[in-house]
Amino acid sequence: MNAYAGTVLRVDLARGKITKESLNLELARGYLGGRGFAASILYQELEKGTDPLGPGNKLIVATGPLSGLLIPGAGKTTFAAKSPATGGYADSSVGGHLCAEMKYAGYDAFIFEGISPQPVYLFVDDEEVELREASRYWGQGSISVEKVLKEELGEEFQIATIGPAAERGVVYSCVSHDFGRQAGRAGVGTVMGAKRLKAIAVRGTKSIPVADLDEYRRISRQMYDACRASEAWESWTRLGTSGVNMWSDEVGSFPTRNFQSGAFEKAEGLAGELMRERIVVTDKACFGCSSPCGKWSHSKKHGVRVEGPEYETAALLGANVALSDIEDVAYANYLCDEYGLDTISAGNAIAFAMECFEKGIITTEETDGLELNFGQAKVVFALLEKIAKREGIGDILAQGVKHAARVWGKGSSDFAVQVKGLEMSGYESRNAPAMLLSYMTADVGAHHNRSWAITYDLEVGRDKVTEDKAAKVIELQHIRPLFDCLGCCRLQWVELGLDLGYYAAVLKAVTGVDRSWDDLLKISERVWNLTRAFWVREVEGFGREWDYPPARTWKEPVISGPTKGKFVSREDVEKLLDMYYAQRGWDKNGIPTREKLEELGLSDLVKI
Amino acid sequence: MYLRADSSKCSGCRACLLACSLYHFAENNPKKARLAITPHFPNPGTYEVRTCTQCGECAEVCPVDCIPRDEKGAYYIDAEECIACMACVDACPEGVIFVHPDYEAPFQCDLCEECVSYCGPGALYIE
Amino acid sequence: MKRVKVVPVGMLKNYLSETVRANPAQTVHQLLDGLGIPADLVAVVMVNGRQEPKSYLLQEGDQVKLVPLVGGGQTLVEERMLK
Ligand code: SF4
Ligand code: SF4
Ligand code: SF4
Repeated sequence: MNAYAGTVLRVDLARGKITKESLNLELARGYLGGRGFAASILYQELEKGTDPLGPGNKLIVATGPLSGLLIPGAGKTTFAAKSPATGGYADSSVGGHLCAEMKYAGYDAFIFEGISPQPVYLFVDDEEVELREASRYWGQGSISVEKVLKEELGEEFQIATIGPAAERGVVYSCVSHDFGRQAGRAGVGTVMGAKRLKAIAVRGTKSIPVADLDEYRRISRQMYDACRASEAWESWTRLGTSGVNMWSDEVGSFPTRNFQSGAFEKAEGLAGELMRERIVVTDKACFGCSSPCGKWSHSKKHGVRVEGPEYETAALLGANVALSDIEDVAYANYLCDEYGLDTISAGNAIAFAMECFEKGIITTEETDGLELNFGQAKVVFALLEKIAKREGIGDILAQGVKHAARVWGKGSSDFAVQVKGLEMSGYESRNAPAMLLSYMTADVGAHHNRSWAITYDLEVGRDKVTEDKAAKVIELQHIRPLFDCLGCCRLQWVELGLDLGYYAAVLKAVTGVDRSWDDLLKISERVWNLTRAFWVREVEGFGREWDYPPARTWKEPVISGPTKGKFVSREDVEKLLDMYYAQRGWDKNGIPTREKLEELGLSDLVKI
Repeated sequence: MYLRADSSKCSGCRACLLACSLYHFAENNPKKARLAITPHFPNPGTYEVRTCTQCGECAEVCPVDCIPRDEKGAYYIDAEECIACMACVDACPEGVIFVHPDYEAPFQCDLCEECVSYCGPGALYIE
Repeated sequence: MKRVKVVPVGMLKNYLSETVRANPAQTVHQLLDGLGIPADLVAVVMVNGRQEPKSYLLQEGDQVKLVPLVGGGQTLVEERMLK
C-alpha cells in the first residue's frame, strides 16, 4: 500500500506476545493515520469504562502517510490512550525521528495491550521484534535511558522512553524521544508506565513505497524551496518557539503567577534572543525539517544540557511560577525531561500550589515545610522532585490541579487552571475569546495545539464574542489536527506560511488516492466527532459542563498588564458554547447529533 | 569539485540522506545514502556530518582496481567489477562508503549535489 | 544620515505593501505607529538578524524585518492550490 508500511504490530504485554497484522485498508481510507488511527482504534477496541491505568487500556503509537517521506517535518508520531489525567480521550504528538524509523522498519503503528509482569522494552529491528527485559533501566531518567540504549543498540536506533514519574503514576507523565522531544500531554507516558513498558527502540532499513515517484519528488522539491524562501525562515530557525515569548508578554497572554496576569514584569529575562545568545548551542530538527525550531541548550549555571526551553516551558515554568532567569527555567526543563514530566502541567501544578500558599489556603503544614513563594527557583526544583517521587505535597500535585483543588478546597477550584482535568497551556485568554473557546473545546482538555486562535482575536478585535470566532476555532480544529493524521509537522504552514495546497497534492502523489483539501478536512471533522463521542461514552454525564473554563475566567479580571481588568463573562462563555455547538451540528449539551454522525459516516460506529 | 560540510550548521534532519537515496535508487530510504549524519547527544549535543573527501584511499586498496574517478573527480565503485570484498569500506577514513543488504557492491558519493539543495541550514556545500 | 530599511513579512504586507526606508533615532514602537501597523500583530522584530524588543532605538543603517503572527491565522484553503 503506497505511502504506508502496511503492517501494524500488536503487542500483548501480559503474555509477551507480538503479532503482525496487515494495515486495515478501511482505516487508512477513513482516518489517514496518526491521530486518526488512534481515535478509531481506541473507540473501537476499548471497552466502555476501561481503567486508564488498568490492563484494558491500550497505548497506540501511530505514524501517518507522510511520515518518513521527503516532506518538511515528516517526523511526527502520535501517542494515544485513554487519559489517566482526564478520563477521556488523549493523544499527544512528538517530533523527532521515531515515526520515520517505524516506517522504514515496516510498521505503521504499534498497539500495546495489557500490563507486563516485569519492566520490558520493545525492540524492533526490521522483521526482528521482541520484548526485552528492562528491569535494569527501571527508575532511571528518560534521557539517561535513551543514551544507554543508544550505546547498547547503536546510534541508528530511534528510542522512546518514560521516566520515573511515569513509573510512579504521575498523571501528566510524558513519553520522551530524541533527548528532548516529548509526547507531553494528558498522561500518555503514565499509561506507558502503568504497562511497565520502559522504552521502544526501532531501527529500519526498508524503503517506503510511493504511488507516483516523479510527482512526489516534484512537489517535495517545491515544498523545500518554499520553506527556505519564506521570509519568516530566519527568525523561526534562529529562535524557534521562544521567538514569541516577548510578544506574548506584550499582548498580555503570557501566563503569570498561575494565570493571575498575562504580563510578567521580568519577562525580558526569558526573551528568545537572550536565550539564543546565552545558552543555545545547536539547532535541532525533526525528520526532514529544513526549518529547525528545536534549540539544544547548555546551562553553565546548572551544568546541564537540555532541549529548549521552548515557548510553553518558558511560559509555564517561567512566568507562571515567576522565574525570570532563562537558565533556571532550563534547569526546571531538564528536571522535567529526566523525570518524564509534562512541563505544561507541572508548571501549572506548582503555580497552583504557590497561589494557594499565597492565599493561605495551604500552609507550611501541607507543603512539607516549604515556603511556596512565587519566583523561588529552589522551590520549583524541589517541587518537581517531590511530584516525580510523589512525596508529601508532591503526591497531591502529581494528580493534577483539579484533584489538588478538591483536596485543598476553600474555593481554590476557581483558579485551578484546567479544562476537563487537563492543565492549560501557555496563553492567558481572558481577553481572547476565540483562544478561550479553543481551550474549552480542545478534545484532550486545555491545550492550544488543536486551535491556536489568539492570532485571530488580535486580528479582528479582542473583545468581540462573535459567530466568526467560533467558526475560526472549528476551522483550525480541523486543519491543525489533520497534520497529526498525516504524521508531519504543522509549523511549516503555521510559521513559514507554507501553502496548504501542497499537502493535498503531495498526499495524492504518494498514496495514489485523489482527495481534495475539503475531503481531508472532512476526515479531520470525523476524527473530531469521534473523539467527542469517546468522551461521551467514557465519562458519566459528559456534556456542556465539561467545556467550561475555570471560574476565574468570569469571576476575576486580569490583575495587571495590557489586559488589566479584562475577563470573559459567564454569559459570553455560554454564548461561545452555543455558537460553537450549533455550528458543529451538536446539541445544546455539546453532544454530536444523529444527523452529524450520519453525515460523517459515524452512525454505525457511534451509538449515543 | 568537493562536497563539504559545516557540521556546526547541521540540525540532524536527515533530509540529505533521503534526497540522496531518492536520487540514486529512486527509493525513500536514508539507509541507502552516500553521506553520514551522526548525532552526539546529550553531550555535547552536536551533529557530525561526514562526506566523501575524494581522498582516494578506497581506490588504492581495491584488489581488483574497480574504483576509478569520473569526470567530476568523484571516485566510484564499478559494481560490475566489484567482488564485494569490502576492503574499501574498511579503508575509508571518513566511513562514507556504504553497504546495504539490498546490494552486493558498496556505494559512495558521486557529487550529484542533490543533498545540498535540500539542506535548509546550509550545512552542505560544493567547493 | 543612513536610513533604516524596513521589510514587512507575510500578512503585514496588508499594512505596508513593500520595503520602505525610515528614519533612525526612533523606537520600533514609534516606527510601527508611524506606519500604521498594529504592534500586537508583529510577533518578532529582527534587526540585522537579531531579535530586538519593540523598545529598541533604531540606529543608522539598520535592517529591520517585521515578522507577523502567521500562526494559523491564515488558512489559505482554496481549490486553485490543488491544481
Ligand atoms: S518546525 Fe520544529 S517541530 Fe516542526 S518539524 Fe521542524 S523542528 Fe520539528
Ligand atoms: S552529492 Fe549526491 S551522492 Fe554525494 S552525498 Fe550528496 S546526494 Fe549523495
Ligand atoms: S540536510 Fe543539512 S541539516 Fe539536515 S541532516 Fe543533512 S546536513 Fe544536516
